[in-house]
Amino acid sequence: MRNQTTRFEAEASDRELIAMILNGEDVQAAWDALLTRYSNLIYSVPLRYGLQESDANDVYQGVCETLWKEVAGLRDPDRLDAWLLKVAGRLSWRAIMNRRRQTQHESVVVDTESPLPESGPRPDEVVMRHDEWRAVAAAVRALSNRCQKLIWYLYYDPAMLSYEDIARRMGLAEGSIGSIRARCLEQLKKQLDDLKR
Amino acid sequence: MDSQAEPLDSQAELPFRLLHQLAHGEIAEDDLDLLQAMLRAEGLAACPPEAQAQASSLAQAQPRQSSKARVREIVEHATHLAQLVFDSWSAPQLAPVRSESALPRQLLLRAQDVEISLNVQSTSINHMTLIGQVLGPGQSTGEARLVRDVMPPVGAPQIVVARRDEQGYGPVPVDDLGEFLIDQIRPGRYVLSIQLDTERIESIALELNGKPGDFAQ
Repeated sequence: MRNQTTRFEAEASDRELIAMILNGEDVQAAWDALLTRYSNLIYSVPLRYGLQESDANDVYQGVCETLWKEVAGLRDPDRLDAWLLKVAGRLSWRAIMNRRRQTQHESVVVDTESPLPESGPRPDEVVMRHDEWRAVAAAVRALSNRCQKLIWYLYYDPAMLSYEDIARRMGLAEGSIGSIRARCLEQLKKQLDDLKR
Repeated sequence: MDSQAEPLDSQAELPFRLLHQLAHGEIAEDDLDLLQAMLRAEGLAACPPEAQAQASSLAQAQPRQSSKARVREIVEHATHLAQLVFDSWSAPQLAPVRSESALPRQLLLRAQDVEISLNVQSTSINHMTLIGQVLGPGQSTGEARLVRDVMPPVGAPQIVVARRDEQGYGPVPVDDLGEFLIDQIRPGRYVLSIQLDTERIESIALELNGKPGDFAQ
């Protein structure tokens, strides 16, 4: 079985592995090949949100169970990685909210009437592991000043400004943001690729 | 700059906006690719082997029904109800006048474009033999069984679905001429169920007795 999984992992596309699962052909080997391919990615998401390992494990199991149950309904099996990221992000956030509620419940002994906040904390209030994003931040810093600034506004700034506001602050025409963004992302992805090597 | 911080200063290394959008399901597809590239660039955390083993067990703990099996099940459950269109015991001109029970009873059932011809012959006081043939345009091999019927409550719809756990006879094979034979049948109320390759046919309830006069629907 392990040999089979290794072969599938190396040779089969996500779409092919999903088809095997749906058709009942070598289901365990195909499922294991998908897990081997994506477990680290899934598991990293809750950790990058600052969750502890026990919570990260819960999120990971939740993502895997969701995939197992919903694999037949995936709209685009070629985008499985993106789908997994989305599910992992949602479940991580849910875990953060649960952790937050637990903490509040433990700290508020008498005041049981106060409702819990609906919106919850912002990610920058709960995510403590900034150091784990330093390599990416360094890659952004390696970009040109203009790209660095634009990437900051687009992906980092908690103010989450609109394109219009970003354009105004950067002294650019709003219509030009899209094309500049595309060029900056290209540079950034190259920097990120270099980091992986 | 809105946050009054220099871009990517030491307090601002978190891709907050990306994480916020991901957490709330608002992230764009190409930003998902960027986020994945960022995660991989930072280096992915190693998923503990025991966690992966637990996820692996899902395939056995919650077995999936394969698509092919689901299609087969749906097809097999596409049951057609066969109505009685002829019964020799209810046709006055053909009703036996002598030695009634010695004459085989002829029945004809129809479900869509499939007809089932039945010949019921008493072999002893308490036993009968049913010889049938499935006639239709498609492939007719499969299997046939008689399932004891449970009388529906008064006022209930007259379409009777036999309960599979009831006593009955068969299955017996339906050969490539569409013929089948069930013997040693005791008198009673039955549903004839025929499973062909692509469809299931179930008859209305049939009263099979050694003498004429009380067939039922």
